[in-house]
Amino acid sequence: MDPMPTSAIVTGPRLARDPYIVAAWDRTRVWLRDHPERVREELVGLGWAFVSIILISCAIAILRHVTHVSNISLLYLLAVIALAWRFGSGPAIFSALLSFLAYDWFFIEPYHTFTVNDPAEWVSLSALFATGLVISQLTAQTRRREQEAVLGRERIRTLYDLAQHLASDAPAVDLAQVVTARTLATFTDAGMLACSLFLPDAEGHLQLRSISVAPVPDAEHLPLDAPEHLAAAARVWNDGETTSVAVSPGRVLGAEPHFTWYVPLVSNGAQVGVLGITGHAGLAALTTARAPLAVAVDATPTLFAAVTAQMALALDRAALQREAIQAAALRETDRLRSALLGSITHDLRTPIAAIRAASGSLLLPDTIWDDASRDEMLTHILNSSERLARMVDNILILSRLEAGAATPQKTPYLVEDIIDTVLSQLEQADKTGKHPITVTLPEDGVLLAPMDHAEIERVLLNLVENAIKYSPPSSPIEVRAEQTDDHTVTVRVVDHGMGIPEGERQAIFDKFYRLKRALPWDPDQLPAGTGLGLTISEGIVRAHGGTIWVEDTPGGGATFAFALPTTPELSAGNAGEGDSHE
Amino acid sequence: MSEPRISPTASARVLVIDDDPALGPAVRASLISAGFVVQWVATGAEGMAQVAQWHPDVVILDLGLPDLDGIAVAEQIRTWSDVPIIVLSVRDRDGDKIAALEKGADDYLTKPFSPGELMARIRVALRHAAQRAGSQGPAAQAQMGDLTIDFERRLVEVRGVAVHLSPTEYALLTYLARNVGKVITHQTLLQAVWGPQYADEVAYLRVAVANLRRKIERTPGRPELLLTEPGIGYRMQRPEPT
Repeated sequence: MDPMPTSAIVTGPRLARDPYIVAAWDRTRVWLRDHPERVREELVGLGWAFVSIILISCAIAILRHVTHVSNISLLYLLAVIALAWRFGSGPAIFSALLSFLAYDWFFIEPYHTFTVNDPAEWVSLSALFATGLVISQLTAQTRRREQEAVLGRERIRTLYDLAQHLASDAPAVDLAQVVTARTLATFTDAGMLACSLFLPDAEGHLQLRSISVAPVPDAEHLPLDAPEHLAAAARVWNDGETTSVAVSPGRVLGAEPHFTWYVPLVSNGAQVGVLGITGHAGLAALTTARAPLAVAVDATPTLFAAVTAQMALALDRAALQREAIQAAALRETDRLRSALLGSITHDLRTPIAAIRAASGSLLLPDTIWDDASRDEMLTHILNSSERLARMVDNILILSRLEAGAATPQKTPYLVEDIIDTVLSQLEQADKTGKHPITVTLPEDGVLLAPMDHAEIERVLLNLVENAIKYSPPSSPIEVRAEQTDDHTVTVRVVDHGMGIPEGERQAIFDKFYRLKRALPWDPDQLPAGTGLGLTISEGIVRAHGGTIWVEDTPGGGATFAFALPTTPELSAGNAGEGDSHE
Repeated sequence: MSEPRISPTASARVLVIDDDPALGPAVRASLISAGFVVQWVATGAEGMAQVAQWHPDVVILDLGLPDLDGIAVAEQIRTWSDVPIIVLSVRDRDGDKIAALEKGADDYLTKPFSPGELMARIRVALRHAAQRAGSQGPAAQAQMGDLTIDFERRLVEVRGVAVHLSPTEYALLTYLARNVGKVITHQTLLQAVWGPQYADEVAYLRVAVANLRRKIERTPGRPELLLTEPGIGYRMQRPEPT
């Protein structure tokens, strides 16, 4: 019996297991039941054949009273041609047979019997019947060709539409939506009630990705997301065979049972997904290339095959595209990583070498250092270890920012608190390099913005340190903060150093970028740093929804500025409290 | 409680509760060379016992202890002793620092720190403890640099000139002044000055601090009295006499 674990799965109309003839009969019967309109049309055709032959017989009888016309029986052929054109070969053959019998019965002696005396009459009768048959077949064939041509055109148009929809650069979720929606739209006329698509996830497990249902009452209640449907789809996926399974007749859409067939979507010999189609029993015809005799004219199964092939191709291409993008991202990450490694290895080695040399010297046996030399070496060790710590910090922050993991923990914070914290830190560590640093705040009003204070402190620290590094000793540095508008607070660090040339104002924010010029006031030394400070600052400011840039200081020098978004409520809070001035 | 000493730093007793082996030698050496009497224990239980028996003048408490939660140790000590507590904690653990401060710690230091920083914090703690111990009952007046607060007359003067403060600003200033030297967390300040339901309205506090600074500080951008403890709270500092 069926190995499926759930009893909900039943065999639909027997398809592949039975001998072909039985299957063909089954399918024909199913087809007849599911296409009552076609059956009715066939019956109407037979009726018309009967009526038209009677009428023509009457006409011949009247004509024969009036005059003698040789081969008057050819009149019957008009009916045969008309019927073949309108109703196809069945009614036409029937009318040819009828005309044979009617002519014999009414007009060949002895009348009103099927006996024929004159052998010559046999010839003319047989000729009539044979001509009728041939004409009926030829006409019906022409008609069918014409219909096929129309169907072919429609099919090409459908496939073209489909290709248009699938070619759009939509993400995979949308593509799945497009696949089910278009398949359903194409085959709604063929009786499709719903279409579902299962695609493998990253681990290769099949997942339901999209369901489209026909706009008929209750169709949306089809239990297509039930576990047994996934199981059936998974079976098709795992077997890798072009088989179809029918899943539990639902009770949703009236009394008539309906089924879901799962067909594999195959592109370039590999499965890309499983398509589910839901409908009444007749929809099974779609899933087999061997159409039953009764629907030989119907191009729908071939269209279905073409459509599914098209879908599979599009899904396959989308998957390949995704893989290509991921691979490219990986390559880029690798490239960055090796660039980072290359750059930092040197930077890390320098302070380590300094620490080793200094501490090794201090520990030399039998050597007594004077106080000045000892202090110098100890200072060297301290500075180098601080530099190392700083670099490791920077690298960690950068990797966090790049991984997109740095969501700032924002609370309303005073910009003046940030400035004071950073400047106190620099003063305590004696790192201001004799630069007089002034702070300019607005006369009244409070600068308040939501921020992660530790991160913004790091930004300002980077900017002030750069100003110290890149401007001549003892030149003044100003930290200026202001409310630009209700939504923005801007902080500027103004130095009077050598400034940043127009052409480098973007590049300085790139990773590892450093100004390569020697400092005019200290030509022997290139400023030290990792080339990461501004990159990190930009990353932090951006994560806060703000912007960072550099401009000229009037009279020479660089002004680094960053703007943080704030809310009108925080800005407005100032005005209310700023009233109690003396 | 130990008696106030004549010179707060000379031979003051420092209890360090920390199990960090990397910190030990350097910090101990620098504390001893600065003239402190040092007792070093590695667990919270030993630390509490030492506070009870040895009566240190200041306690350095690491929040990452092997046996007990450092915050709980601070809370325990505070139930029977007024000894200043300086907590040590690694970076990115602001929550621990805030909890310890709210449970009674006076100050904090973030690891890694330089011995100089620790020394400075110990001196500040000893100075404020000595002043607290020297005064009888709540002071009627406080003098901090240019700033004079007359608690009875509700009068605030800067360099002899009366300053008009809003009721909120006055409440904030007096709360910080009565806890001079102590780090007060945002939450504590908000609850004390605005009320318990305002504990999370940090923006109120920020605006009040900024406005207060504009009235009492010489340079509001570089405050000398009302100091920022980044991410933790605020602290009133008595400027070192120059």
